[in-house]
Amino acid sequence: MPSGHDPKAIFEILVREHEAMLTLYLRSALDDAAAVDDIFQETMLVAWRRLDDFDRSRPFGPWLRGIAHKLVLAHSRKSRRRGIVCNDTVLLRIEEQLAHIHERAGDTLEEKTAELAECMRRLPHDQRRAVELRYGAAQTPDQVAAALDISREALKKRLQRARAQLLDCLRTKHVLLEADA
Amino acid sequence: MSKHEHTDQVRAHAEAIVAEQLDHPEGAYPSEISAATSRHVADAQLVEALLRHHYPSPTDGEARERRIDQVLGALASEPVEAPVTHAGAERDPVTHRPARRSRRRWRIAPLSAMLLLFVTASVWWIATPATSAASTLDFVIAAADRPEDRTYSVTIESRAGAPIQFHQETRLDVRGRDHFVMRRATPLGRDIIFGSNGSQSWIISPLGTVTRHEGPELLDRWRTRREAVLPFHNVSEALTFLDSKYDLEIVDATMQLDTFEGDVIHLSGRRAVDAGLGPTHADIWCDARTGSLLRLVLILPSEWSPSGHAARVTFDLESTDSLPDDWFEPEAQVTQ
Repeated sequence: MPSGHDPKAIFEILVREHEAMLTLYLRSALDDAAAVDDIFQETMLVAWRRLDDFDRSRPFGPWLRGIAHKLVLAHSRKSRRRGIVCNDTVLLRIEEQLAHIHERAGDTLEEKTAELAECMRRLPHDQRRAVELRYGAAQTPDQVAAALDISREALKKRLQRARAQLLDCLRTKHVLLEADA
Repeated sequence: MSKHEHTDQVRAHAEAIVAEQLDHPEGAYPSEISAATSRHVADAQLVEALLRHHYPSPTDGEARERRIDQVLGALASEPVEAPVTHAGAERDPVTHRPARRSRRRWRIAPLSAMLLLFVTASVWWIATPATSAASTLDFVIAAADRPEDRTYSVTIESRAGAPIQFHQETRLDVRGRDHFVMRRATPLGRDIIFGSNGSQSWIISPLGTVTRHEGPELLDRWRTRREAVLPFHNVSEALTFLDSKYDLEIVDATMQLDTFEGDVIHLSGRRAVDAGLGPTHADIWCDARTGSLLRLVLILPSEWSPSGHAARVTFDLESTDSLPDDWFEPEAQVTQ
C-alpha cells in the first residue's frame, strides 16, 4: 500500500475506489467505449488538479461525477455520434440513482447491486436467455437473434422488456429509486 | 388519461428510445425529449450499464487496469508540485481540459516516437562522413537503424525561469528500428513500461499486468489518441516530418562532447513557421565517424508539451552495452 503521506498515492487509492462507480456513470451516459476511457481519465486528472476545491466533509464520488457530468456534456456536444440520449436531465437522474446506490450496504458496486442476480432469476426464461447471450456471452444482436431463432426486431423487444422488468425489480428491492423519486 | 397511465406511456416511450439506440448505435434519437422522458431514459440506460458491469466481457478486467494505468501514467507526468499544496494555483476551467489532457497523457510516447524517428529509416549509406545537414540526418537515421543496443537517459525538465518547475528522468533502451523499452515512474513506486519486440507492442502496468498487441497499434493508441498530438503516425510520415519541417544546419562538424571521446557533429534546427505544432527546436549530436546518435534535445512549446508547460527534453546516450537477447520481450521486464 502506498505511503499515506504521498498525495498522488492517496489519490491513486481514490481512483481505484471510485473506478467502478465512475465507469458505470459514464457507461450509462455514453455508448462509445473509447469515450468512456477518455472521459474517465480526464475526470480523474481534473479531480487531481482541483483537489483543493473538494470539500472533504462531503463524499468524493458525487464530486467526481460532477466533474464527469461537465465533461460528458462537452463531449456530447462535440461528438458526431448521436446513438444515446445524453442531456443534463439524464445525467442528473443517473447521478441521483448512483448516489442512492452508494448509500446501500456493501463495499463494492457488485455488493451494492447484488440483487440484480435475483432479479435476473425472476425473468421469464426467454428474456433471461436473451440477456445472458447478449451480455453474459457478449454476443452481437445478430448472433443472439440467430441463436434464439427470432428476428432482430423481436430480440430488440425482448431485451427491452427484460430491461424494464429488471428495472422494476431493482426498484422493488430498493436498489434503484422509483420513477418519481 | 390518468397520471399513472401517462407515466407508463412516457416510460414506454423512453424505453423504446433506449432499445432503439442500443440496437442501432449509429442511429439518431429524437432531438426533443421531455424531462420526464429523459429521466426514464436515464433509468433504462443505467440498467443497461449495470448489466454490462455484472456481465463483464473477457477484456473488461484488462480495460479496467488500462483505465487506471492511464490515470497513473498521466499523474506521473504532472509537475512535482501536488495541487493540494498549491491552494491558490490558477486552474483551467473543466471544459478546457480535454485537449490539454490528451497531450499530457502521452507525454513520454511522443518523445519516444521522436527518438524512434531517428531509430527508423531506410539505409542510404553508413560509413561515409556526412557533408550536409540533410545527409548528416540520413547518416544518423541509418546508424540508428542498425540492430545495435543502445540505452538513453531521457530527461524532461521545465525551462529556465518557468513558473512551475519540474524534472523527470526515464530510461529508453533501443535495438535498431523497432525494438525498444521505455520506463516511466508512477506514484506506485513501480514503473509503467512500454515496449516493442519488433512484432508485438506491449505495456506493463505498475501492478505487473501485461497488455500486448500484434503490431504497433497498442502504442499508437497511446500516442495518437488526439489527432493533433503528433504530426506523424508511421515511419514514412516521421521521416517526411523531419526532412520537411525543420531547417536543420550543421552547427559544428568537428566538436567535442564531454561524454564522448571522438569527434562529434552537431545539427541544430528550428521548426518551420508554417509547420504547425511540434518541438520548436531540435538539436542532434552524433558520432562523426559512425553517425550514432549521442544526444538529442527537443524544446517543446507549451501548446504541444504533454504537461501543458514548455519543456526541454534531452536524450543522452548512456550505454552501447549489449542487452540480453530477450530484453525487448515483456517477460524480461516484469521481473526487473
